[in-house]
Amino acid sequence: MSTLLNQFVLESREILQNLSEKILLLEKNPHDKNLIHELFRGIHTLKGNSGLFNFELMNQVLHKTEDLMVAIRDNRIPYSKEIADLLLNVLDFISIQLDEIEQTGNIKEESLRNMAIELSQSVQTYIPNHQAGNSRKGKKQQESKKSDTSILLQENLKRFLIKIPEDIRMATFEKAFSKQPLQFVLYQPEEECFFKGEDPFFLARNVPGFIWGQIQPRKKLPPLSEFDCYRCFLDFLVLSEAKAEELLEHFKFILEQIQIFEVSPYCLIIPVGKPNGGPVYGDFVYEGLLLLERGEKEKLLSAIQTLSNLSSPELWISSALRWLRILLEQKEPPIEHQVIRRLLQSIETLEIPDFSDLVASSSTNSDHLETPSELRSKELVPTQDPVSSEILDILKTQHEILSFPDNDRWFLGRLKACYQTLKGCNAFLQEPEPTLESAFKKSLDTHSPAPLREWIEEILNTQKKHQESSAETSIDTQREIRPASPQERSAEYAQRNVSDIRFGRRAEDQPGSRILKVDQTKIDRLMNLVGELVVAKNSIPYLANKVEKSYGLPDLSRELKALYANMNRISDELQDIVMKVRMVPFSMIFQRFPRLVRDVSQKLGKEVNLIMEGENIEADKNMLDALTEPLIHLLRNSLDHGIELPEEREKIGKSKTGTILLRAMQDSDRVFVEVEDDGKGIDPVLLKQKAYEKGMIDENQLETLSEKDALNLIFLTGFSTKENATDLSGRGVGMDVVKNTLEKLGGTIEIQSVLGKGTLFRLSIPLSMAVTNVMIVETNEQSFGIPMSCISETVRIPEQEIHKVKDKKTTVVRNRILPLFSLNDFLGLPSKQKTNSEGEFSVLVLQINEEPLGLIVDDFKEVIDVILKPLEGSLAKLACYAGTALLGDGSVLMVLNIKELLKCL
Amino acid sequence: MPIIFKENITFLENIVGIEEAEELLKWLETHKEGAVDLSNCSHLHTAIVQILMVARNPVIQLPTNAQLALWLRTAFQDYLKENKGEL
Repeated sequence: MSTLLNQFVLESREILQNLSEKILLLEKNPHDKNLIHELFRGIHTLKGNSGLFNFELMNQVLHKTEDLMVAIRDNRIPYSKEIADLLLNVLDFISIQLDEIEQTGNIKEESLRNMAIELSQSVQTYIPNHQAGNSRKGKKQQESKKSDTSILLQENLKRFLIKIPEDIRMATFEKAFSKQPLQFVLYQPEEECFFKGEDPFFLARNVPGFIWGQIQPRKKLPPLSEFDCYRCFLDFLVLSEAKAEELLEHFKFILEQIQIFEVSPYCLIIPVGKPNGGPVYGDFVYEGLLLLERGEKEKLLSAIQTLSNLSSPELWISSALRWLRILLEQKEPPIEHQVIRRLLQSIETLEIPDFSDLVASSSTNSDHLETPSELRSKELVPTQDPVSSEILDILKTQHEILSFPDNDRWFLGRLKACYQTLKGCNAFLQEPEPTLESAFKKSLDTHSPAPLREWIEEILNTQKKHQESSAETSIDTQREIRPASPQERSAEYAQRNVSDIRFGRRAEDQPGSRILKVDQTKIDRLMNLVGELVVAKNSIPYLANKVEKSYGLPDLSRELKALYANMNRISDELQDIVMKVRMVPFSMIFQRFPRLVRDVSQKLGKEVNLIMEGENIEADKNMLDALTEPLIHLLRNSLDHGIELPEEREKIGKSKTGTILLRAMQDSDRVFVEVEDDGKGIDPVLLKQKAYEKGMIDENQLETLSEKDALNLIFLTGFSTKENATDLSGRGVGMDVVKNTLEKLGGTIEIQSVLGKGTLFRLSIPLSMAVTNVMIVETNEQSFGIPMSCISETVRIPEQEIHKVKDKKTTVVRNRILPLFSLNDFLGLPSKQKTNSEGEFSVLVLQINEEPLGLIVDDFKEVIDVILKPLEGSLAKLACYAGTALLGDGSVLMVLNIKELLKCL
Repeated sequence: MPIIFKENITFLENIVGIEEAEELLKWLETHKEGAVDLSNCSHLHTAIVQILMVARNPVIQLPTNAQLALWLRTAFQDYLKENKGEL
């Protein structure tokens, strides 16, 4: 299980616990607004978190519950004990899922689907459906409002449709008429939507089945100077050929901001062009109507052809004629005469024909002319209106019952029972089906439930179609057939739920968690204290020495040393534990990279496979935090400059998909992170050329610089910036910043690259930055600290083995030439380095940028752990000191920053 | 950068997010006649569209992305001055 998921489970448990407390409290004070707000927030957080992991069922139930909480918060429904029960059930449901996630890392959706559906439904029964208007009062308001809005919408719709180019309208018409009804979506985002991270335009552009869209200001837009660019004042109108369900799914999180209307394809018939009427047209209309009456379509078509040959295509009449032809040529199903008649008449009046009262549907009988009232009822209405969903539910259940395996003993009784139920339902259907009786008889005769089942299927199918173009008239019937008020039903549900969805456990019944959350500052404080303890402990050996030498008490000294050993062990262990507490696995930072790589590679049109290794390796949290930015930069670089485009890769015989390997490894007290790609690599010659052009290296270096050194040029300040000014790089973090960041952490970065094969960046950082291991050295009778991280060994070199090459001291150590420098020279101390009694110099072999270097000091002292405090105030400018540390005897040790010091060379 | 400001013309490119809104607004305020070129643009955040609609600066190139152009053509129709090469 990933760390993120683990975190989710932990957090969710905490929220659940919190919520169930709130629910119980709320039972005592049902009017406490704060509690309700807190409940809502808790549910909201849970929902958001579950959404991250794509736990669909959990999210679905929580989404509904959130709606319920909104309704309660807005005082649309009162908080009641039943709701409390339901909420607790929801919490239990979540808890079960969390258990499963914890055990298996995932949810077996199937096993819980029924529970989820049942829960969602019971939650739904409480929510006053503001779109369908569940309550009587709500419905009345809805109705009066609807008539207003529908006029407004029709106006909107007309203005919208007329802007669609004629050819698109025609193509859409033909498609829409025979196949799919059209949907018109009016999306009115809320003003604050930008603050929620929404981009309404993006949503509108990606509407399924998109045909045409338009943006329009909701009101007059203010002048630029007064304009608040973080509020949304735009509405979006979209014409789509998708099903209403698909659209609802697309807008599922902002359903309250959209209105969907089914649009009759006839609404697309809008002739456009220059008006240029005349008597000829009047004659044509008269003749055309006559031909239509007689059903002589062919003659009418040829008349249209003649007239359109005579008219300029930009004219209004030509456009109308084009439409006429399309209407007449429509064969399956043919267009109603009424439509053609109206269009013909419009040629005389030059007014856009009004078809808004007509509904075109492949399911209606072709020549069936509807009465005006019937027609009006099929006006543009929200598809949301459920046509007697209860009846449909009953029908579905009966269908299910009839599908049970036959059993002679029960068959007859079951059939009769179903028949009675169906008869009851039939009475409430919009158009009662007289065929029920005969279906029942057939079933009895054949001794098979099939005829009745088929009858139900038929009803369900037609109902489904009706639902899509549902009518206002059904509302009245619906109201009557509603079996019980929401309150009554909720009571019913609640009763059922108590027994059904209790699942035998409570959300709080979770096993006690072994994990304690602690504020990071507390850990930091603890770390500091441990550090001080280490320093304090270090003073004991001083004391022991003093006791022995100054006071001549060797026994006491020995005891002190034994005590020190003991304390040392304890403090080491303590330090170890505290360090471990601060350790977090690399997966914490690695987790965000797959997404980054995915997004960036998509943007660049590249195919990249990211492999991550060593996610379990742990390092200090501060270290990891500081490492994130450099890693992001390196990944971006690899994606942008390293990996080639798929076509290029194929051409040179690489696999189309590039690979980036991100690997964390641990080696004693250091952690290595590698970013390796199999891209085109870096060309050292090109780098040298670039650096030379920019005057960063001279002509001599251009010739002599080794490949490796050339690669290191990319770390120079100001080197990479110009070349990489794409929108990916150039975010203010150049390679030089990456290097500096790492060096600040006490880390290093190295680069290996093979042209055409790929590039590898290896980052190395200490496991922790709290305690630094330093060696104390003596020079000119002063003590200095040198971090052990850069010391590779200490050697003593006799004076005669030191050679001078052109005034530079060198020696040979282990068959390697070692340049020597004197610390006194670096520090500007006038005295010469001292030798020991045998005439040997003390030399520290340092590894700086992979190069060995000998530093001559007067003497080596012990190695100690210190807490490095950076220099403050004006001293902070002294880059050659890494910081100071307090020694056991109370003196201050200056710790050198060797890399900075070498710059003084 | 998805927005490139030139002397009297601004190029909006790729995906222009809401982060750019303020800067664009400032530029349009100071360049009342500044032209807007959207040819290489694949998406504009709602906020950006809105600013362009409020500012009414001449839009000289619609995006090559057909679906985006379809939306923007009607939105910007009053000040759409698609040029054919000059400027």
